[in-house]
Amino acid sequence: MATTALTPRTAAYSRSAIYEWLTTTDHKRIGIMYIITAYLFFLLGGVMALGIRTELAAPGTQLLDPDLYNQAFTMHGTTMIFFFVMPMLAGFGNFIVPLQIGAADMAFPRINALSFWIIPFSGVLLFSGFALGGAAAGGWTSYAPLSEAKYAGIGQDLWLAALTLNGISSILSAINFLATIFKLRALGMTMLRLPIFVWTVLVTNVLLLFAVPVLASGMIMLFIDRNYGGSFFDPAAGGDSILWQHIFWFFGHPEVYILILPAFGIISEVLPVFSRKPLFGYKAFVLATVSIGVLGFGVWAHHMFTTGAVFLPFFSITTFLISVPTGVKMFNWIATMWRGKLHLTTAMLFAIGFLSSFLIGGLDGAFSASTPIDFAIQDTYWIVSHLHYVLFGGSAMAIMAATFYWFPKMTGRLLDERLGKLQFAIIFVGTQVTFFPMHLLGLSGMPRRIQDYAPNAGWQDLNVLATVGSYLLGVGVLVLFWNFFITLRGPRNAGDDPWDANTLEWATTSPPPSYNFERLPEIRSERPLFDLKHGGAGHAPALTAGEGTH
Amino acid sequence: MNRATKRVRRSLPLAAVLVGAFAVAACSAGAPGLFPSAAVTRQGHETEGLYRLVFTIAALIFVLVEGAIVWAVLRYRRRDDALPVQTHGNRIAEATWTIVPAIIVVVLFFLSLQAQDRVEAKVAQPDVVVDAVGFQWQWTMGYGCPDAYADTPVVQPARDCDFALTGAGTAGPALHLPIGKTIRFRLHAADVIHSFYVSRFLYKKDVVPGRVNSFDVVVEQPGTYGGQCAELCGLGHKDMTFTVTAEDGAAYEAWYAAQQVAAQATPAPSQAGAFTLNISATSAAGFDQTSASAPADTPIAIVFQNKDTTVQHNVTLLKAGPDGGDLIGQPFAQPGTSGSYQVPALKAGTYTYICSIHPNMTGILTVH
Repeated sequence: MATTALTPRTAAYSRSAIYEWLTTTDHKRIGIMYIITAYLFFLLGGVMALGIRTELAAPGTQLLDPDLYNQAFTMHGTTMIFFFVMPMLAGFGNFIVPLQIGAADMAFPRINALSFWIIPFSGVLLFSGFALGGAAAGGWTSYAPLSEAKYAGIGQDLWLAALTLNGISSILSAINFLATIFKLRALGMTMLRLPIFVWTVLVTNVLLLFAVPVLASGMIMLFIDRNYGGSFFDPAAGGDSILWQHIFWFFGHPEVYILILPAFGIISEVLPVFSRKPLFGYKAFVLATVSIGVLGFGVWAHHMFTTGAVFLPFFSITTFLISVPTGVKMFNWIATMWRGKLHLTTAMLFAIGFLSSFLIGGLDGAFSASTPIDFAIQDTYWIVSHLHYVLFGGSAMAIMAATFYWFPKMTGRLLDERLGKLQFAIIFVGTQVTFFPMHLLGLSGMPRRIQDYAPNAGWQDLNVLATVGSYLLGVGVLVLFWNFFITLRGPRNAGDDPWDANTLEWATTSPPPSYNFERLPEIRSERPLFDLKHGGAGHAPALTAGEGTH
Repeated sequence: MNRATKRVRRSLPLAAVLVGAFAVAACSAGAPGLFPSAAVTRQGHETEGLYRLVFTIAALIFVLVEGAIVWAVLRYRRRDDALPVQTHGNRIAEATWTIVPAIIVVVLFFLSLQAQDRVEAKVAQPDVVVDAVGFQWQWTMGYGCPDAYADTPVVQPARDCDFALTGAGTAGPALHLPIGKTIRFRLHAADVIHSFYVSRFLYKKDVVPGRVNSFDVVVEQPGTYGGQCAELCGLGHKDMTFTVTAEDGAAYEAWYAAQQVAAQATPAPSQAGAFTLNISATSAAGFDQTSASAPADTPIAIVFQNKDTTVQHNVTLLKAGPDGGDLIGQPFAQPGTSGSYQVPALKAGTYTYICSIHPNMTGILTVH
């Protein structure tokens, strides 16, 4: 095993660490900067969520007047989707994918740096609305005509500009990931030996490449409407307000899978390692990932069932069907744990928390797929509950699992497991207490995106419960940041392979040298490091003649 | 402590939360629960039945899968470092959990499709037609409107229909409907997208500018039910409420006749010696006059001209009533029309006037 401490080549020059980080093209440093940026935006988005929950804890105005309230939920959604989950998953992808495929860096390191640096600047652009007369307030969906110049101010323009930039970053990074995965795999790393995380990043970036340009076009059309007298979405001048929804959701539904597929990949890395078994049904899992990617482009109008402008049966059946490959994954994960030797580390606990929460978000989907039920629950708190079970119970839990799992590889230090387990307990309970009551609120008729409700509506108790839950989530996140703080002050205690893991990133030092690998183990399966440690005897599938060579 | 109890103890939080979530849901019968509010329409009962079916299947899957997760966590905790059997897959198991869910969702789809056909069915001749106009941030409900409204997106019920209901202040209009009759709602948007939602109907339909959406509904249970806009439409989204009172045919007819009489009544004449104050508005961005003045201790007749072509407005004097309450301008002036409001004598001072559905439209009335 390579444990040599090599002198970095840059030591010959006397550059400050800050200069090194600002100018780096190293995929690992860029990955870490993505992750730090995403966590900072997570804090901002979280503060707005707490503001929203505080406002809703009682009838009347507590904290945010209707104007600020609309800005808060718009910016909360936009931030969490475009500036927390997407950059976070891009960050883990950046750090992990080249290591997992045995490459020295991404295919286009400087484009990679550009993709990253667009994110913080577009984020600042988005948030500058607060200082320039009001941030965007039309929801993260920004439906026209409410987002047109007649009804929305400067914040909407900043929103469009920021997200167009953010989209350019996504497109650049998608090209980069695809080139990396297709062209830079190490000898023996065939497509069907790619770690599942790499597969999910691959499919995600194909989705990004098809979906984001559509959104970018729509945003430019809206920008023309607002600033140059266009009327794409203005029915009074011959435009069509439903057109925006088609464009938005043609991006927006694949976007949901963009936010969750890499999370599936993370879970598929963590569960096998801590169950000490291979992922159950690797090929079925790859197939399910690809079919979700394909079907994901055929379900967009299920967000528009109540517009009276879409063909209901088609989008109903595709929405029902997409639950099948997702279900296959759920069963494969449980079968992976079955008869394993489970090691309940914090990462594993978050993976299990993901399974049990995402299950609820997934089952909710079957209700929304049924058009009559959707007529009742669309645009109520039911939908808010559903999407948070998917994006918080799903994506955010997976991000926490990834944080605990890969932190030692990134820093050489193991996060404190006791604090981690405390954090897991708080966050898991907080998730259920915050988001489950929203199902019930939606069923009893509470619409989403309202700043206030009547005292006699009967909604207050459950809202208080959800607010208490959201404060718990806030505490849980603070525990995580405390954990970062004390761990980074502590010694490098991780070693190369603290989890007894399977994939190549654990076959180098922690943190890895700038060129990643001193030498690579032979790659004969999707678990090269496992094969190295256990000799492959009776475990890896027998090699047929010629396989594994080029 | 032996290992088994320790395992159980460690797993308690997980189990407790799952049980807790169910308990919260289950013990609140009558209040918000795991099922939608009881439907009061024929169409809503279809949705209710379908919901029960999907819920039952989802609950079974939930218990099965969540149970398997909990079991795996409890049963397969690591006890030694020996490598477990390295199972890579099982074709029969994988085929089963692909095909069985596929069959379930396809069956659900066909049941859902049948229910959808019944919920969305429309009769040739509805008994009552109501034209609902959604605007920022209220509703106008027109009764007895022309047939041409069926495909006219921009309409003016106050001008064309038997009568039009508007709200008072921020309280929305109060609809009355006969029970057991087929009622057609035709939905018109004056500005942005709204959504017509009555939770006890278990139904909503978007109110989209540039198109007329419609749906038929038969209310079966008498009572008064709250409705509200369900699509974000700006600052006053939360205030876009209305009520629906379902009553028997005779009561409905009497109510309808009274509304017609009220609509044809001539406005009350101005008080003698009143000071005439002219105010107008061209858009929902604000009044044309942001300041006005009037003599103290003299009755005032506000003549309000609504030049806005899309939305109705009024003039409401805040905290000007004898009891310190607001003087709400009733009725609203429809787009392109004018209205007059009689204001009792005011003491000297400054008063704020707003449009009661557009609190951002403000002006200062100086009384001296």
